[in-house]
Amino acid sequence: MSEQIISLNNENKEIELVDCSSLKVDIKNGSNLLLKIVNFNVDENIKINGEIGKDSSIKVIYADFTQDNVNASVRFLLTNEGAKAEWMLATLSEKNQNKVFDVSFIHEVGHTVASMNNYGVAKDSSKIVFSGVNHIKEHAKESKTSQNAKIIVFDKASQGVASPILKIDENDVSASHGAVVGQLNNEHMFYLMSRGLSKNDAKELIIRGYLQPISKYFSSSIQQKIESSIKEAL
Amino acid sequence: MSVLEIKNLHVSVADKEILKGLNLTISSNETIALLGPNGNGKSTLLQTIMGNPNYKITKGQILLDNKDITSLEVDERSKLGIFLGMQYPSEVPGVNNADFLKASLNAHREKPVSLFEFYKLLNNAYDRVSIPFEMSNRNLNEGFSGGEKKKNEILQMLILNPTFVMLDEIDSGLDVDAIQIVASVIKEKQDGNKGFLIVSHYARLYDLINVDKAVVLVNGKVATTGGRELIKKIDSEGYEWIKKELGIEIEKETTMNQVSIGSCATKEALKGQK
Repeated sequence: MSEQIISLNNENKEIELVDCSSLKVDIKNGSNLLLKIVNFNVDENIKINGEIGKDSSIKVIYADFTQDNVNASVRFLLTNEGAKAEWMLATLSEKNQNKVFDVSFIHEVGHTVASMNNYGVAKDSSKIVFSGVNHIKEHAKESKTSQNAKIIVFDKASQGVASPILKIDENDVSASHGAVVGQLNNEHMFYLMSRGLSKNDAKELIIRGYLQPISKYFSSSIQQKIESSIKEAL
Repeated sequence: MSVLEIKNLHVSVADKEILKGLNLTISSNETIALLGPNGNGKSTLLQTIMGNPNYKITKGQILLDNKDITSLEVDERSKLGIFLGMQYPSEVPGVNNADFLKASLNAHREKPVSLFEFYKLLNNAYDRVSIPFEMSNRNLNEGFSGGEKKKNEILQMLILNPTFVMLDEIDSGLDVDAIQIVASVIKEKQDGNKGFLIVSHYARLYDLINVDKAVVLVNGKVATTGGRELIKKIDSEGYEWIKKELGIEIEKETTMNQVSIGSCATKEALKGQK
């Protein structure tokens, strides 16, 4: 698939992309972009590169419901003061799939902000990896960066790996990262079942809790497709 | 009328026997106050009746109307009308409170509830326990205060309308006003068609509701039963008299304190050992 390019100069836009595997984003001079990407059926190698310029912001909502392996490399450079990037990812892996998301934000200058939230559900002997580096370079004073990853692993044969890395070469910054990888919580299951929900109903509620919040960002036809993907997986 | 019968129940948690031959019968028109020193099996009994898989039944039976429910799944017990208001309700991230309540309610019905009926039921229940209706849109117990969590348990009881209600320290973490609210809901539901098994350390809750019987658990068995006078006695004297009057030595825990992993875990664990 050929590379898609989004370029904004002092403008605001909301863009929804379906099955996107190669993308270049360049926004600058007070631009704001809400970028929604949902993949159902797409090449397994995914490349997203972006540059966020002066006083510009990007919010990326990335939903992955592909039925195949994923090897995604995502890299955003915050190149000028006032650049902001927000990233939210939800993915579901099943049937021996191996899904790797390498997501990085590079703070090249000061007064830049990046926040990353990755959510995953791994079942049926599949594997999810969240990796990537948030890098605050030297002299990028008063930058803020955060990384969060949560993976719920549904069976013993499935795997979740979350390794958020912070690389910080400047003192005057704020940075945080956290990762939770866990099995289905037995106490949660007991609590839900004690109110009459069957094991499957209880699992379904918990899976939806991980995957559905991202749905609301998309148009209604996409929401329906996401819903049927979740239903199929249950 | 329904009858819940516990027969010679032996229960172990992590290979330690907690209940050691407990017998208890409760009818769906009576309220039993369950008392006893900490660590003597009150919560274990309630969790076991509900079917928590962490509590292993090694001997004995739980019967509901003569039907053996000892090995039934947790959700099946709920559908038979058994309810447990938890001492520490779980926070379940991502699970919306209203979605959860609706799914629970539907699990107890043949036909799914209509949106209108559900909304009405929900609105009334929130009103009854004085929690803002907006909280139905929050995640289940996530970020709730201790009192809100407990009220949320009572709210679930109102919505599911069970036959046997077990409440585990429902009054702990509640302020005076909240205790009044919870007690008035319980009292309203003590209409002769429900059985209550209520664990509390304080006479205050029992004073506000009807109590037919007080049962004292010691060392995983029923040590004695009585009426309100027993609650009063325990409230003023504690449990020391049990040894003198009943000749039962209360077994003390000798293990280390359980603490979460943290920098001071060792220090904390050894506290109280001296």
